[in-house]
Amino acid sequence: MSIVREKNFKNCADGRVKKEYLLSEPFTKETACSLSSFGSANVMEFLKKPFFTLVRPPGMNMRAVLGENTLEVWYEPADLPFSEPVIYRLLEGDPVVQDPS
Amino acid sequence: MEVFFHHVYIKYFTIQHFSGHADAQRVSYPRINTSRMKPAMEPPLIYLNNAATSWPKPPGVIAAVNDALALPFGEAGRSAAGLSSDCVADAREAVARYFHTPETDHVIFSANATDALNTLISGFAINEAGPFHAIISDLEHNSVIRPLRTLEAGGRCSVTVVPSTGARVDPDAVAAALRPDTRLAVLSHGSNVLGSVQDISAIGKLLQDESVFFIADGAQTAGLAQIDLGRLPLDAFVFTGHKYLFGLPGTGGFYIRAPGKAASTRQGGTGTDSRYPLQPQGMPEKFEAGTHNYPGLISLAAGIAFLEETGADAIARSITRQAGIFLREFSGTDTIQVYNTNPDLPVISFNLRDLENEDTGFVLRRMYGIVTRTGLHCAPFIHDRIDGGHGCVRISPSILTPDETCRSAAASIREVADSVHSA
Repeated sequence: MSIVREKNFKNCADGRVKKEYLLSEPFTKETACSLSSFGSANVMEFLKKPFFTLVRPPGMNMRAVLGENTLEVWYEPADLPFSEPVIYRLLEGDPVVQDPS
Repeated sequence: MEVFFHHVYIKYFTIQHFSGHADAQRVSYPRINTSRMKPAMEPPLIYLNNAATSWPKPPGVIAAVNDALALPFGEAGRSAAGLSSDCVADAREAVARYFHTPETDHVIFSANATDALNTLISGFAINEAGPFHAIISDLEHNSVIRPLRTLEAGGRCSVTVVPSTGARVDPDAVAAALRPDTRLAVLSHGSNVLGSVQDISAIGKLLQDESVFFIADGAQTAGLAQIDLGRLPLDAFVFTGHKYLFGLPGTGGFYIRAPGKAASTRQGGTGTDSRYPLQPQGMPEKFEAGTHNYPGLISLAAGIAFLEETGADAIARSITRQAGIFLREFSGTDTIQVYNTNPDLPVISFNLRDLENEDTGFVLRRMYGIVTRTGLHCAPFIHDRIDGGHGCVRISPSILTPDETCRSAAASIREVADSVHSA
């Protein structure tokens, strides 16, 4: 899996930056597992569609609906240059990236 | 009131476009044929973010803008083109009529409510000889907070933030905040977070007695509440066009009772007194310079025509009915925390017990097609009080949102809340 392109970018009211990425294939439970080293991940399978969320303090989180080709990530602006490349690599299954902190 | 969404059929028609030469050139433009509008089309989304920008727009608004774009604009005060009516004057008359302003030319157009508030607050400060005290409430939007905090940072004023009680600003609390040097008060007429309407009549009366310049921010109430500026004790009233007046974004303005209370903050072409080197001080030129947003003002006039045709009573009934649909669905559970269970406007803010507001908004949008507004709503003070500054989910239908859509959305929100809680 990889990020094909950035679909949307927004400076949010709380000061964070929101990016929505188009993925090369649908987001799956395995994708969720591949990102779990990055923060506190949760898949809510009891909702209408399975919903993935990940929180990485202090201000980063991401969301996706399993089976869909998009991933939404909220960054602290100062964290963006460091975290975004890691997310790209994690989604590509880069084994080098284990603990981004 | 039953409201249908309409298919909009676009066809091409031809007009004679005169270029000033003897030969006429045929040009084709797309045009909405309003005579062939038919009911049937459902909107692709359940749009509940009208407190930000209304959608859908009434068919008459779409048609008016489309028709206007097909012809040259008659430039207000500047041109003898005369190929269309003076849309600026028409819009000014529509706003004056709708808000019952005593003077039509005291209605000033701006880009939006934020622009209008900046113009009024800065213009008032310029006229003040020394530092002054200003009163706002904790319901205010950043469009009020930031201009005043900027003046405060420059030593031009000091600001007292009056806390609201429940969802409302108590006139007595405003009275208690008055100081001998209080010269300005800027208060939200309707809260964009809690949907409460403030008693600007009572507050205005006490401020009038103290000779305090009172600006009411009507961004959320214009088009919903009945506003009679001929009777309300206000010095200025701010409105925006793109919310419940059903105009396009980029429209708004204010009414000012005594223009001498604020200096003009922009200078430029007005189409009048062109040899005079300074900004004309007549109205409305004192506060308006440069080319107007013609299509926007046409949409604003058409939106007001729609509201007048609909009637204030029908609008009021719609607010009560829609709010009731959501509040009934959200009642009897502790999984949904509603921050004002008695709103005056169709604005309901809430959080689900075990889901962050951004997650809630994401789930509603992606799984149910429901568009809400999440997070902080540019009103930081009130979020500190109601949700610890984390933000909340806001739903805001309009009179063009069918009741069945409200019922469906309310049930979906309850479904998400119950699912999360029972997991």
